[in-house]
Amino acid sequence: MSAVPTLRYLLGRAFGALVTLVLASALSFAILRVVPGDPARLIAGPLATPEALAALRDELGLNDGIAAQYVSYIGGFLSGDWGYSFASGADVSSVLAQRLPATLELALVAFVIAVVGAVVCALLATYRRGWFGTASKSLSLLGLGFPPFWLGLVLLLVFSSWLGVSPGPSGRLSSYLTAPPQITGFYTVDSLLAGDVVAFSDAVAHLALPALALAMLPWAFLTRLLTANLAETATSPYVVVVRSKGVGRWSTHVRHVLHNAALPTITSSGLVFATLITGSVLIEQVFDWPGVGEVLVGGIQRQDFAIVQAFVLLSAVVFIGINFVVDIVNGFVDPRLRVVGARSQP
Amino acid sequence: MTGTTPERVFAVDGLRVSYGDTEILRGVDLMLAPGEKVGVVGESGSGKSTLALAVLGLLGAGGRITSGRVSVLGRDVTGLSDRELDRVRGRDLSLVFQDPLTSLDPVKTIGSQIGEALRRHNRGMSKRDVAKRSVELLSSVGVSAPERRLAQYPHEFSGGMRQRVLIAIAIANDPAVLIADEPTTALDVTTQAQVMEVLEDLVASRGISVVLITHDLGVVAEFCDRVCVMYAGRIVESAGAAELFDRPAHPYSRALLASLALPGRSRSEPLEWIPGAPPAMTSLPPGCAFAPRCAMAEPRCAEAIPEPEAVFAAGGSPRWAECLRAGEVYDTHNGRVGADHGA
Repeated sequence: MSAVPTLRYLLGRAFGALVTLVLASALSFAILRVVPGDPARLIAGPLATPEALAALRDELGLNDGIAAQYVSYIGGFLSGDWGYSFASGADVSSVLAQRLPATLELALVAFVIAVVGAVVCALLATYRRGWFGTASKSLSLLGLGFPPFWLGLVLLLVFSSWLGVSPGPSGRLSSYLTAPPQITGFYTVDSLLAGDVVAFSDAVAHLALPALALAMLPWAFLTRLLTANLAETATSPYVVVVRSKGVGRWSTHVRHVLHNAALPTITSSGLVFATLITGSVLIEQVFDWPGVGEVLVGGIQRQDFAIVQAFVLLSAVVFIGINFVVDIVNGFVDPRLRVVGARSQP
Repeated sequence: MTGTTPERVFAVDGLRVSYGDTEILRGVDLMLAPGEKVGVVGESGSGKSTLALAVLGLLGAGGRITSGRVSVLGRDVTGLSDRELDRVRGRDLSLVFQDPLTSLDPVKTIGSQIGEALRRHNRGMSKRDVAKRSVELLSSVGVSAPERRLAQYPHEFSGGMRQRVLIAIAIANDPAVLIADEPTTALDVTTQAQVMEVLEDLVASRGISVVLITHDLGVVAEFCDRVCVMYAGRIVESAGAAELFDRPAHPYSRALLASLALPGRSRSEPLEWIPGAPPAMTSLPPGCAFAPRCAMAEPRCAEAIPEPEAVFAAGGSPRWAECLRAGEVYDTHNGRVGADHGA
C-alpha cells in the first residue's frame, strides 16, 4: 500500500465528516426553532407584558431570519460562546464542563467492560463448542432484554442492600470524602494522580455497579454480533490454508479469524460508544450520578433552548467524530477499504 | 500394510472418514514414492477434497477419521494430537487449496502470510532471513518484483498470481509431500498451464511428492505419473497415467474417459455420458457402488465390494481395479477384444 491512497482516504473521510456535521447542526437547529415554545416567555415569566416580550425577542435575535440565527449561533459556538441557560442564567459551557466528566467517566468504563467482555466471550464461545458458548449465548440474549435501569436497580438491591459490598446510589464518591483536585475530571484518574488511594477505591466502588448496568446491553449486542461474525469467518477457506501451514488453532482464531471478523464490531462499537456518552439518563437517575442526563432532561422539560441545542450539537460532533475515527480504524484493519472509492461496509 | 519402507514417503491405509453417520471415505489406500506425482480423479462428491483435509487432520466440525492410518515419512500421523500435527503440517506435508481467490487472508500482506509459514517451523529465524527467504520463494514461483509485492495484499494480485503465492507458501519449508486440491480449477486455461508448469518445475527440482486432486483428466495426463480413480469414497482403480488413459480396467474409469474431449481425439467420435448420478453417500448399495450405473453389472456385483483385481499390462507396471470383470474391461477396451494382449 503506498502512502498516497491512504492520504486521499483520510482526506475523503474528513471531508465527508465535515459535510455531515454542517448538515446535522443545521437540521437540529431548525428543528428546535420549529417546535412550539417561546424562550422570551420563559425568561420574562408569565406576567410579562407583550411589549416587554417583543423587546426581549428583538434583543435575543429571535426576530431575525432562521439562517441568520443559525450563522450567529455557529459563530458563537465555534468561539466558545454556547449561550446561557434561560432558566438558571448559568453559562451552558460551564454547566456542561461541570457535568460532562462524570458522564464520560461512566461511559468510558462501561464501554471498556462491554468491548473487552464481548471480545473475550465471542472468541471463547466460537473457539470450542461447549458449555461456555451456550452460557454466553443465553446471557447475551437475556442482556438484550433487560432494561438497563432495571438491571441497575437489581444490582443495587443485591450488592448494596443484601450483600453490602457496594455503596448505595450515592453518586461518584461517598459524602465524607472530598473530590480529588480536578485534572482530567475523572475521579479514578485524578485520585490516583493525587496519590489518594482511599478516594480511588471509593470512586471505583461507586463506578462498578452503574458501569456494569450500563455495559450489559452493549456487551450483549456486541457479543452476539461478534460471535456470529467469528463463526462465519471461521469457515472461510483461508482458515484451512493457515492451519495447513502448521499454525495452531488458537493463533489462527485470534490472528486471522478475529481480524477478519472485526469490522462490523468495530463499526458498531463506535456507535455504542457514542450512544453511551450521549445518553445514560436513566442510569444516572438510578445511581444519582451527577452527569449531563439530569441537566438535559430538565432543559427539555423547561424548553431551555441553549442547553438542549448545545447538547444536540455536541452529540452530533461526538457521533460524527467517532464515525470518522471508526472509518480510519477500519481502514487500518482492512486494507481493501483504503482503495480510493471503496465504501466502508461491514 | 503397516510396514513403511523408505520407498513410501506418504501412505494412506484403509482410511475411513465419516461426517456424523455418513461415511464419506470408505477405505482409501494411497501410496507415494519419493518424487512421485499421483493424480486422484473423480466426480464432485466422490470424497477427493475430504481425502485432502483428512490426511492433514483438518476435517471440519463433525468430520472424523474412523479407521485407517496416514503416515508421512514413515510416521503414523493419525494418532497425533492437534498440536503435534501442527508441527507436521506445513513442514512435512502441505496443501495447495482449491480456490486462490479465497485461500489467502484478505487483510494480511503477502509477506506476512509467507513469513508465517517460515517462522512457524523455524523458531528464532530473524526478520531479515524471513524476508530474504520470502523473496526467494516468490521469485521461484515466478512472481516479478518480489520485494515490492511482499508488502501488498491479496486483492492486489490476480488469481494466477495468488495461486503462485499459495504454492510458494506450500513449499516454504520443502515438504516431503504436497497435496494439491484442484489447484487450477478456478483459473482460466492459459493461467492453468502456467501454474502447472511452475508446480512441475518446483516439485522436480526439490524432489517433492505430489498428490494432485482434480476432476480435470487433462491436467492429470500431463502432470502425473500415476492415477487413482475415486468413486463414492473408494479408489476403484490405480494405474500408471499413460496406461490408464490408454486402457482403463474399471468400467467407471472407462466411462469417465469416454466422456472426455481429450486432445488428439477424433471430432467425429461422439462423446459418451454416464447414465444416472453418483449415489448418495447415505444409501450406498452393499456391493460395488458403481454397479447401478454400470453397463457391465451382473447380479453378483451387488453382493459385496469386490476385491481389487490385479491387471497386468504387457510390459507395463502392475495395476489393479476394484471390479469383478476388470480383466474383461481391460481386454475389450475400445472394442479391441484381446487386442495386442500378450504381444
